Amino acid sequence: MAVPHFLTGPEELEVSGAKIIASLKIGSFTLNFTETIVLEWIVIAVILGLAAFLTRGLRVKAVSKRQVIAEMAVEAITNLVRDTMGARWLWFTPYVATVFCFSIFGSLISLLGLKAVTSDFSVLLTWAAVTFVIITATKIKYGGIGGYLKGFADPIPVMLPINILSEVATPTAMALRHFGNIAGGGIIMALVYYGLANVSRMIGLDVPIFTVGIPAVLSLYFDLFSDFMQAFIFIMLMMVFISNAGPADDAAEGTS
Amino acid sequence: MGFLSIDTGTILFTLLNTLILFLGLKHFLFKPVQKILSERQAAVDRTLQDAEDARTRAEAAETEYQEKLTAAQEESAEIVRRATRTAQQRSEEIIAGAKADAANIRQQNEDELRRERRRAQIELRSEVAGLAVSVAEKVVEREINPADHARLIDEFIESVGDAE
Amino acid sequence: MDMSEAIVLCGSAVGAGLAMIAGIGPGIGEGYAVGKACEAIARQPEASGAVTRTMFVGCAVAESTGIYGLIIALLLIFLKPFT
Repeated sequence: MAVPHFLTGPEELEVSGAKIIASLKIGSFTLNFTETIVLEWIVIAVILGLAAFLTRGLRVKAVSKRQVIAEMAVEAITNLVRDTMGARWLWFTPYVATVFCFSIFGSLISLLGLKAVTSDFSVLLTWAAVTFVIITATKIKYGGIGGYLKGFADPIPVMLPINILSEVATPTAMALRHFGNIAGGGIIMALVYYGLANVSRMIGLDVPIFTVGIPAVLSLYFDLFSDFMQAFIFIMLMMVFISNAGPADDAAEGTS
Repeated sequence: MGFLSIDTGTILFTLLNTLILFLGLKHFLFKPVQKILSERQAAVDRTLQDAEDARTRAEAAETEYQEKLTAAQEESAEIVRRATRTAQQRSEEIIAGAKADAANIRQQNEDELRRERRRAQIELRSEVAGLAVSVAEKVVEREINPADHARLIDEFIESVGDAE
Repeated sequence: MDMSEAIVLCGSAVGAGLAMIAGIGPGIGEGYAVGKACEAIARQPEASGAVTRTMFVGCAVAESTGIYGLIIALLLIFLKPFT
């Protein structure tokens, strides 16, 4: 009996990064256009479509359910930023919301069988690098360039390499943590599918019936819970690192 | 592409995409919702201000009403007091008038009585005198001179008058 | 499969297993953190929201060493960087 290929389940486990769709060579420099970027566009379209849907026909009185959801989301993220970073960082809220939504939806598309955006290390490195830039800019803004450079020799000049290392380690650890959780969870889920398909083949079934239902329990943790947790933790750490780069809130009231 | 590879193209495009999503979210979600929220806040503030104004007005009206009430109470108390005083005066006048009338009447009665008695005395005296003269004439059967006569009568009358 | 490749594969597999020893630390640490969080919530139930949030963030930070170990193990098993 001939069974279509997509019904037989994975025959061998393949762990790799994003596929390259097109690449542009400029001299020795290669600019790759990968699968991840297309998925990012899908995610952006979904998020912006959702936002536009939720904020359609806003009213001051007699609000619709959509509007209540939109207001709750905005107020929740605003309160989170205010509680974590202080009132002077409120302008930062849209960026926090951006990373949060991007991370959650980018991870959740793995439920549709697509490759999660956040299982591409480059994506997370980008966000971590943005965080690093903001941290550095904040330090220079509040301490001046001299104060920023002096901070590396604190408390004694011998600490210089360790301080530089810890400065670089902050965003790297953030990116690696998120990447490791999502990619590792993805690989574990792939292993589960692969193993269950093999079990089905072993007892002589062409269609891997064991892959129905059983992985959903694991998917609950590795996809849903882990995705939300990692997105939340990524923005929490981002906010904590950035707000710690500046002076304490009450000391900065005059300057902001 | 490798499992843990770092790709410049992906980084650049992701940066661009993040910027697009940032601006999109700001434009589609944050700006309208925050506008609505601030409008609602303004509406709430306005309502509160109106309520405050209404309360102030109500308090003013209540104060005014209280003042009017106090004034009315004072006025009514004054009226009652005046009426009481008038009534008292009037009753005193009536009582005094009644007393005066009673005194007059008693006085008249007493005068009348005194006059009656006087008249009775005078009548009695003259009757007694006549009686005494006739009795004496009959008893004595003799002529006495008018001087003795008068003296005897007077003595008699004196004794009768004393016995009265 | 010649001998050297077999030795590399064997070493990769053993290395992957050893890398997952990193899971011990986060296990102990997170268990301790969750226990303390339970105590804190029992003492102050009204602060459960803040305690839970902080606990999850702390757990995620503690978990990162385990995740690093997992990444190394996955690399060794599936990508075979030394063959």
